Amino acid sequence: MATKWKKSKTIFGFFSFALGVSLLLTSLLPLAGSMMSESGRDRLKNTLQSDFQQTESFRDYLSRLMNTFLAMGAGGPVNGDYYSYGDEYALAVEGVAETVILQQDVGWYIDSGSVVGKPTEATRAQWKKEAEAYHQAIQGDKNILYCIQNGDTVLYTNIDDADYYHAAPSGYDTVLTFQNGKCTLAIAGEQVSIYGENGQSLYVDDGEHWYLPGYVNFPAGKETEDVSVFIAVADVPALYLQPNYASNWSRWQYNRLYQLEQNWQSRRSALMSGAIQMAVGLLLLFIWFPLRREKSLADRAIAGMTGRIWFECKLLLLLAALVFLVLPLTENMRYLFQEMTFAVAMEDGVYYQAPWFLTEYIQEVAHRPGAILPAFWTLYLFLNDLHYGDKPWRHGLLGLLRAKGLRLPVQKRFSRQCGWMGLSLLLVGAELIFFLILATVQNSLPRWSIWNLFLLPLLLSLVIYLVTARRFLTLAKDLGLLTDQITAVHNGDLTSGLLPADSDLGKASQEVADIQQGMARAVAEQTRSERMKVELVTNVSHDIKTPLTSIISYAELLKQEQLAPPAGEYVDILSQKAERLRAMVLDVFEVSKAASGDLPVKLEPLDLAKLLRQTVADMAEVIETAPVTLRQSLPEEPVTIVADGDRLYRVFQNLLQNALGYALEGSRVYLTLGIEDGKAVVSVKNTSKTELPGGVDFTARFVRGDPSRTDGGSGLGLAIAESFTAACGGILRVEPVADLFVVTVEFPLAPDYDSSPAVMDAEIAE
Amino acid sequence: MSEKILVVDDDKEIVGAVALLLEAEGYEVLRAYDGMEALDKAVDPGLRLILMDVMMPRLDGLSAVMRIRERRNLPIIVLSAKSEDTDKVLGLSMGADDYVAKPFHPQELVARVKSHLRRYTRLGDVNAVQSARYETGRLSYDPESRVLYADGEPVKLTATETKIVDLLMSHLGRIFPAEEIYRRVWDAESAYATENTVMVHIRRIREKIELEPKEPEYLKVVWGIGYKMEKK
Repeated sequence: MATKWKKSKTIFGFFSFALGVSLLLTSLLPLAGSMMSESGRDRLKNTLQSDFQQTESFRDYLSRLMNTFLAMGAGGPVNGDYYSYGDEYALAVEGVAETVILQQDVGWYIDSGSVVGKPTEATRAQWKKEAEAYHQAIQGDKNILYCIQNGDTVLYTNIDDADYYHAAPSGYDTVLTFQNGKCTLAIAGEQVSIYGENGQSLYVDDGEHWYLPGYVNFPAGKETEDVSVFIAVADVPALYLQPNYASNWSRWQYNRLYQLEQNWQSRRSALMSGAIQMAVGLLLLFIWFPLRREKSLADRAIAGMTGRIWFECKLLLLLAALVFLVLPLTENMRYLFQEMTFAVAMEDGVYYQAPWFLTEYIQEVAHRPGAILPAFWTLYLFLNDLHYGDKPWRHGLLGLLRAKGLRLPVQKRFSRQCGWMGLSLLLVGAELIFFLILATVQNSLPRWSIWNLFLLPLLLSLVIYLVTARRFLTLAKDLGLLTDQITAVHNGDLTSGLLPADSDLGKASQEVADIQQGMARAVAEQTRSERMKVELVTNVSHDIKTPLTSIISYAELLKQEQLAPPAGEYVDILSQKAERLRAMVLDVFEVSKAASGDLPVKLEPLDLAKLLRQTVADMAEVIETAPVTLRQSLPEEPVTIVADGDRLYRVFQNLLQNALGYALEGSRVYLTLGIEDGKAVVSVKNTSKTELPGGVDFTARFVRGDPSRTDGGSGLGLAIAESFTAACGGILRVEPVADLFVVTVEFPLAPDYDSSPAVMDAEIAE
Repeated sequence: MSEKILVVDDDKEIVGAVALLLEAEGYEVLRAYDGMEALDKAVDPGLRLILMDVMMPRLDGLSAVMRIRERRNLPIIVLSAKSEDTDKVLGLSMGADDYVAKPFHPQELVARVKSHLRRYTRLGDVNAVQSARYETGRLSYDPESRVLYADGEPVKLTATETKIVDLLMSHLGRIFPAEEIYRRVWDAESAYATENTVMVHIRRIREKIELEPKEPEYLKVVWGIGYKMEKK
């Protein structure tokens, strides 16, 4: 329930926002458009008047009518005002105008403004004809009742009943009269003071004053002394049509007052509806404001929907919408462009200024609120998409080309090259389109044929580029995957994935996979055989251990018996040999484990020099009883390596035992520790008792310098030392030189514990 | 009445030899040749200790240990030909008190048996005077009187040995470099042969407290770092 309510709130919020903004836009734009120009502002002002008879247009119309009638009454020309009417006098008196134009040769028309002196009789006759024609033209329009007299003679009138020559009938409450050089005016039955309180004011052409003769500085003149004019204006103008089938103009209408009123009415209703729109729009925005959070949810949802569209399509739509907005500009732009080029050619200033340009533009746009809405909402959706969408530009053609997870230099090079290619293509295309636009604007080229000529190859090459670039990038990606596969094999991962078979590199990948499988098989095989070996040795050693336990135990029991002299010695020998067998069994077990790589090691930083000192101290008894001397050269400062101390102790114990046991009696055994090339190097040297055989791997199992095997060793000492060293990450080498038996053990120095182990620091500090 | 010990092994010769060795020390020996038989014999109320082989027919040693543990609280030493560390850990976690790898030294086995029996029989009166002693396995050290007990028996130590024991027992599990031991015990800056000097004393102490001095359980060398008393 709550979610449903929330959802409807979201929808409601969004629609009130959308509708509100749309209404405001469509109502405000025309208003702004008319506010931009002088005439627009005037029009607005007049529209706001309570009655059309209060408008400036009406005043203007009535004044000019009076002026014309005065001219007719005085026998002057009537044409002068026809062409100076404002644009709302939509229909000029074509019938009259034609007559006038036909009479051009008379001479008054062309330079009527400069006619000075007394007109000729012919001119007078012409003017009279003119006035007759005009009277003919307008007499059918009963919205204006007029009566023009000179003295007592009625010259022109469209009032049928002579009773009404000086009195308006009902329905005609606005009356303008001229008599004795002064005008009197009543609008809607109320007297209007034209010339101010005392009737002596000056005429100022400000739109407020009536353009009627009788002012101090605008007298009626001598010609009109005897003229009297009566004009009655209908309160509600009606449409009068006057057919003229015998003439060129089959029918025409002459309804300026009617149109004046109609224009005013329609503007008024337009203004009213605009105001209502604006009010509703504002109201909707007031509704939206508290719901703006919910509305943003709708924005998000819309962004989710628009996110599925290719970014390029959105861009195109936006462009189209903006073109709608720009369309009114194109005409102006052409002029502007021509003016600019012209101005440059003439080394003259630009005629059209930017503000003019903008004003024109807004006025143009104001005339098409239908165009502004799609443009506005397209822009809104686009920005909304950018704001809420997840990098929408990635979804589209560019997104298709976007290379994900390219790390290798060769891959980056591929994608960079694709980028450069695309960029150059775009540059060429942009230049071409710019040229085409230029040519079209200047009208110097036939339009569409040329566009097609250039655009089709451009589009074609774009498509080819896209396809090629995509292939390129797929290849680059596959290359990366293949490299990953090879790296995985290199790192010992034998299960990593394959490229699809249809890829260009599919075969190579398959082959790598084959190598992977082969290696995996070989490794599994080897592991299995090693494990079997260890199991064998373990089982055998176990089987040997049980009887050995009995042998040792009974030998011990025998020792406790009081045996006759030679038997006691025999028991001792038995006991010794049983002990040796025990040592051998344990050694075999350990060496086989170490060789299979199963040996667990606990690596930690330790001081190799200290370990050697401890080993020597531990073996002090053996060393003292040996017939040789141990010379040691160990540094006082710590030599830190990372190794397993217990295993390493066994290594050096074996090495020292070896050296002491096989050294020539009376000779010296040397134990040294030094640092060479970032490595700790231990060497144990002794002069062999016997001649050392050449070409023997002393670290192999059961190998001894003395092949007759008469001494106490198991033959496994060096093998154990070697495998333990390797398990700790060191290298053990046996390098005999003549009779000198040299064993070196190398370990890399621990980098973090270069001078002294932290463990020891902590211990000492306490 | 002499103390009874149950020896279990499927190898009759081994049982015989162990029995002879123990009888020579004055113990009475019960014999069993597989796990089931061991369960039957283990109900003897006079029984003080069991030696149990692992690999046996019918019921293996570790299962037998578990089932005996359900009913009886007496020291059990596991004998095994398997010398891998995991077997040792498994044996101890099943409820065995000690582990001896085959082939063993008869004397070591006897020493272990004696050690466990001493501790087991002594358990009753131990609780009374547990003041501020340092304890680890079969060792305990009284810092007041500066006496080290192994299986409840006081160990005779020289003055220097006592100082070393005092230092190590009061910091069980902590590793001391030879230099520090030297500085603290001899109260002098370490000289050239520090390692040797310390090691000589360590070895002597081991001979007095360890059952098998060559494979020490308590006083251990941490190779390349120092020495410590194992915390158990």
